[in-house]
Amino acid sequence: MSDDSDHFEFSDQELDDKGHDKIVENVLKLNKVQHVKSPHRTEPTTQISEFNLVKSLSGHQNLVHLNELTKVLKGRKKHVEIANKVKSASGRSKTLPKPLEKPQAERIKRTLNYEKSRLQFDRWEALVTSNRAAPQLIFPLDHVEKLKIIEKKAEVYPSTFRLKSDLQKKLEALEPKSEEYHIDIEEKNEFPLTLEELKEKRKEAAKLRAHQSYKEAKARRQNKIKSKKYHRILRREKIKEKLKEFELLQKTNPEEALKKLDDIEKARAEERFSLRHKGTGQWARNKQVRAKYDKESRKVLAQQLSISRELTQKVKPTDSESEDEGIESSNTSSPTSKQADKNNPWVNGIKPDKDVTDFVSGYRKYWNEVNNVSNENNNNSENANNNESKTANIGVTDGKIKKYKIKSDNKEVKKLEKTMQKKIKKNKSKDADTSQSTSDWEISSLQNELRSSIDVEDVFETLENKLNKKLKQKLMKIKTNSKTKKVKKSTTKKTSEKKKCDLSLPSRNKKQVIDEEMSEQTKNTTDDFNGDNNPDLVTLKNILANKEKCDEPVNINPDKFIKVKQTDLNTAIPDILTIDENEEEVNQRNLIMEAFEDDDIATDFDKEKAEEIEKDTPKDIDLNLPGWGSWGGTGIDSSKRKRKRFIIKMPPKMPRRDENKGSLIINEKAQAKIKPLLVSEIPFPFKSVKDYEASIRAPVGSSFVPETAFRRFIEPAVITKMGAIIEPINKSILMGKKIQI
Amino acid sequence: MGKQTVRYFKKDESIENTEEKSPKKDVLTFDVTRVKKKPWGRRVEDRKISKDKKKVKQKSNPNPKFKGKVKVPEELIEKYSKGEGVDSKGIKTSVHRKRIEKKEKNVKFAIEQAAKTEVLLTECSGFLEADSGETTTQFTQKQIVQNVDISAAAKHFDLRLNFGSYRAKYTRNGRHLLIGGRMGHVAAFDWVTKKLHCEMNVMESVHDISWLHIETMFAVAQKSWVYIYDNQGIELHCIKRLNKVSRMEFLPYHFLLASCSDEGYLSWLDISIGQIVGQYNTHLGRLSVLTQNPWNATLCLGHAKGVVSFWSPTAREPLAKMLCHKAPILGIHVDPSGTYMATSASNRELKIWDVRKLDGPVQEYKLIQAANHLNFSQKRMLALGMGNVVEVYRDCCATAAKRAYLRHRFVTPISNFSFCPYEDVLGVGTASGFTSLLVPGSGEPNFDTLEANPFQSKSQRREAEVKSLLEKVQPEMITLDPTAIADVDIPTLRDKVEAKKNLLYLKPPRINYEPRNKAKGKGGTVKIARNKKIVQEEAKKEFVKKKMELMQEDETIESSKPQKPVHVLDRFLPKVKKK
Repeated sequence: MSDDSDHFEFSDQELDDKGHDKIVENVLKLNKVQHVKSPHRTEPTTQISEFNLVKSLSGHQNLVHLNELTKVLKGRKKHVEIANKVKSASGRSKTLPKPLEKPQAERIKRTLNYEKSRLQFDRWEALVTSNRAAPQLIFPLDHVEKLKIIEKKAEVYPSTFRLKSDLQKKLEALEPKSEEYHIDIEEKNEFPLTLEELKEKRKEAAKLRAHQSYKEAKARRQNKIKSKKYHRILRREKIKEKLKEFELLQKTNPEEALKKLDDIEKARAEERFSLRHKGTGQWARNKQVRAKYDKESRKVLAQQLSISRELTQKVKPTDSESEDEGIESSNTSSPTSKQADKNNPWVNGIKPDKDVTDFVSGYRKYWNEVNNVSNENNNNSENANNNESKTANIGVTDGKIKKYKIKSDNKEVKKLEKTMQKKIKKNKSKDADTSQSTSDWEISSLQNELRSSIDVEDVFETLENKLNKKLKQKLMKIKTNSKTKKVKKSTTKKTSEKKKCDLSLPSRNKKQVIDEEMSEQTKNTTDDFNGDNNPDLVTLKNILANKEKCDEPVNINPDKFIKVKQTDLNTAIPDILTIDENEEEVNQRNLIMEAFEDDDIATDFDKEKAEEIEKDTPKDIDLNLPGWGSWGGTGIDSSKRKRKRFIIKMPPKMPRRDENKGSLIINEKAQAKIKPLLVSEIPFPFKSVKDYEASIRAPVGSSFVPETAFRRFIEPAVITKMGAIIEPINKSILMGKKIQI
Repeated sequence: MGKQTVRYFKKDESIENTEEKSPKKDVLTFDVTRVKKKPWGRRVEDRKISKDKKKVKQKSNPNPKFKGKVKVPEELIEKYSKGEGVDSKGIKTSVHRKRIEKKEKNVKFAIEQAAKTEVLLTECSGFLEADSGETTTQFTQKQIVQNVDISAAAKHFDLRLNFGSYRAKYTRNGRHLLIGGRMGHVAAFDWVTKKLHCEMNVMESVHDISWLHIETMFAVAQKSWVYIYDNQGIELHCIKRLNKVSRMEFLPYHFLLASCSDEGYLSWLDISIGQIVGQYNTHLGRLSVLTQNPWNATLCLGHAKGVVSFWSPTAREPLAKMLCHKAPILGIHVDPSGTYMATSASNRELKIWDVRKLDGPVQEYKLIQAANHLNFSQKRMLALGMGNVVEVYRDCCATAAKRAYLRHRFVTPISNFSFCPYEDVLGVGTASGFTSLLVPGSGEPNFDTLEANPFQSKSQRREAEVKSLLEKVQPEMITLDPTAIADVDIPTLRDKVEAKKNLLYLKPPRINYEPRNKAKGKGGTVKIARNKKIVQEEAKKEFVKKKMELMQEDETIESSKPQKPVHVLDRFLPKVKKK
């Protein structure tokens, strides 16, 4: 790239030096890499590729500035005027901002869509959670009346195109914003189609489709025919047919016929202002070439021109009405406008209220610009329109109409309006005839217009075009501005978020995200015993110590505190002692034992217990080899260092359950046999051991709880009615009234 | 606190009113100004919503005459309560929290319902009350029989049999009686109606007898082996692995027939599958004092050294040993609720222990004559058998009894006795037969028919059998503390957590790569260094992969658990290669 740019620079500096260029080219050829050549313009062409211009535009040096161009025009007076215009225009207008990069624009679009759809989905959130948490759902879920909900999009959507004025916004703020829906209570289709009906329906549909395709094929075939003769004949036939129809209509339905006449007239008018029969077609040109020598062709041409003249001739009004009304009606507007004219307050000379006129004029000004009016006789039709809208508007609230106002555009529009009015006035001044003014609005008579029709038309067209262009530009600007603003905001937000992320990153690294859940559990489990989460052995000891502490009040040897007083029972003395053959000798021994009741048994038991404890405690492992590295033998103790090094100490055993109970030995190994049956993990919704244990504390079975409670415990989560069609959930469940079943 | 389950749209009344005026009635407008702009859940705002939830105000009673539902007394609820519930803060998602809360409500309802049904327990146990200057000990059976109603009087009877000293046992519902004479006489009968099921002489010495889970089967410990008979006296099984059995106990919830032998062996036979679950030599000499703890199904053995040992089928060694007396133990029994244990020794001592804590003694008595036999009734009356005398004590556990409640003297020495469940009857087997004594207030007056039904029909019995088989408790669950099964194994849990934690910090092993000495020119030091790096990287990758697998193992195990059952045609499927 750098090479390229260098190359360009050189070529710019030494433009005339062709030899140098050649040398450079040769050098570049040596490298055998194809470089993109700078665009050369060899021939003057009307179309200049925009791709070639980009390069020069990007650099500031080579820009063609409009001011520089206008400097040249200083010479003449007329040119100075143009230069000033350009200056003022350049002062006013700014270059449009660069459109957003595609990914950025897409991103904005996506975020907007996401937000919108998220809000849509949020409406369901409450319902979904309640359904999920519900102990029992009965399907179909028809506690709600069935509604057919259609958003009133067709009515609301167009208004979104228009920007809202301040007043409008304020008004909206006063009134609660509302979403409107068409809601019909859906009638149940109790008797759906039978099989035969369905078949018939399908058959009909198939027939219709076949017919359609046939017609399509026919039309395609006919469209392909290029023969002019054929087309001419076709057209004539059509006209004839229409005439026939019209005649028929005249007899049967005169009103319809009138309408048709109107249509025909309209068609004629269209033909009139089109350039037909003006001798500009291919046929006419051919004829013109021949006309010099051929009489017939001259004749034909003349005929053609006469036809055109005939067509363009104004049709004399049939009714003899007052002048003003005649002006109004002479245009080729639709009959509705004619009807409206009759009760036109302005035309009838009745002056409306000042407020109303002010408002209407303001509105009118805007309306002119926004609606690109394509009719030539702008004024009149507008007037008619105005009447209509006025009559309509008086009844309706003002707010709706004000909607259309764009505040930012107002100034521009007024300016433009003024210029337009000026021009119109110019026209009028030439032949200041009958013109009626209502408010700021000029209405020039059509007869004047007819005379200067061409001029006025041209002026209007040009004006309209300009207006349209400017309006479009403005709109674009606003749009882009808003977009850019949004983008800026979002970007700033993003950057700030990013910054935050960056700040939090190091701390996040340290956390063990994968094991989050488990760590939480440990916390809880340890919390049950001890606040510490340290996995060290010391803590374990602590834990155990704590546990022991908890148990201590239970384990206190009762012998120490409450010595149960022996009570002598005055039992009966049996006549016969038990004589069991087996037990006889035992009894004998018992007697002896009783006679020498000593503490033998107690000491034996203590010894046993001591042994048991001994067996249970883990012993230290002595890896010391006596005599290895030092003298060994009886009476010689290994050195302290060696003892420290070679004796592996076992962790002290956790205190026994029977430690404080003198006359009890509990076998802890045997107790541990139940361990594999215990749960050693906390299942999902629970955070702590305590909660989980609490959740399984109560029995559920019918033999443990009363029947009524048992029924509640075993309620099925989902009940489906037999044979009922379960339809997917729809919006009516959010909006419909609840039906009590 | 969960999200509020309100409708998304609230109909705006004002708008609706205006709507009615306008001609279009099919258009509803909804106020969306208050619609939240942020997503639902996980935000402070949503939690706030639940705070200003509607508070249910209690309406004042429109009719103060009627107070409404009678509240269940606190003590009763306390009696049936299952302990503290789940703290809903400790549940993870709001949906689960709601579910658990619902379940807690149900538990509470169950407790209340159970407390309410207490009203239905109309029967109450009575007892003998002596006038001033009299004691209940004075009352003889004759006097009692004369003073009770005819149906109760019929429950006192005397069987004079002459096949040696008799042992007697009742079924769990107290309806049927099994007696076995030393000299081979075995009889089973419905003692209330006196209808005999079977009677036979096994032609061998009979050491002990025991009902099995239903009254159609019983086991007899004969001279060398244990036999099982049905209620018609037909021998069903002869279990030779149980030989020289001296005493037998049946654990009804585990379907275990526990027995101790003269040779010092202790064994558990699962009668539902016919297998011996555990058989151990106790190394404690001849065993003849055996009882079961109904609370935790452990066996209690009394030894000559004054020690009582507790056993379960899973352990070779006793679960616990308790030095109860400084003399040989003669009798031992645990009360039906599993709270108290009574032991008697040859040094004329009688002690009551707290068997749940293995603690005590709660009470100590010195008798004039050593008690050979002990038995608790359902209402915690204690019967002592000394020679030919039976004495019954009331309230001897919590408080020290002064004198006997009842006393009965036989002609011949007593060999065994037991209280009849749900009846005020003490059945005593003597050397000359069987006597049924009336002990007012000994039995539980209200019976739970799902548990034990004295008036069980045949079909009910069958159903109960199937149900109890389905609910059979595995022998591994027999421990000193039966509630341990509902606990979480915390040490293992801690270890698991620790292991998982440590896995994260595990470092890949160092690899010392030593390149082969290659010929000159085949590759320089650069290449060697690169190879080394490659080898090390590969090893590291392998290690990380393994680690990840280990970490995910737990989750996969859980997820893979619900597998499809194996189908017959699955064998034709291509075999999955195992890694």
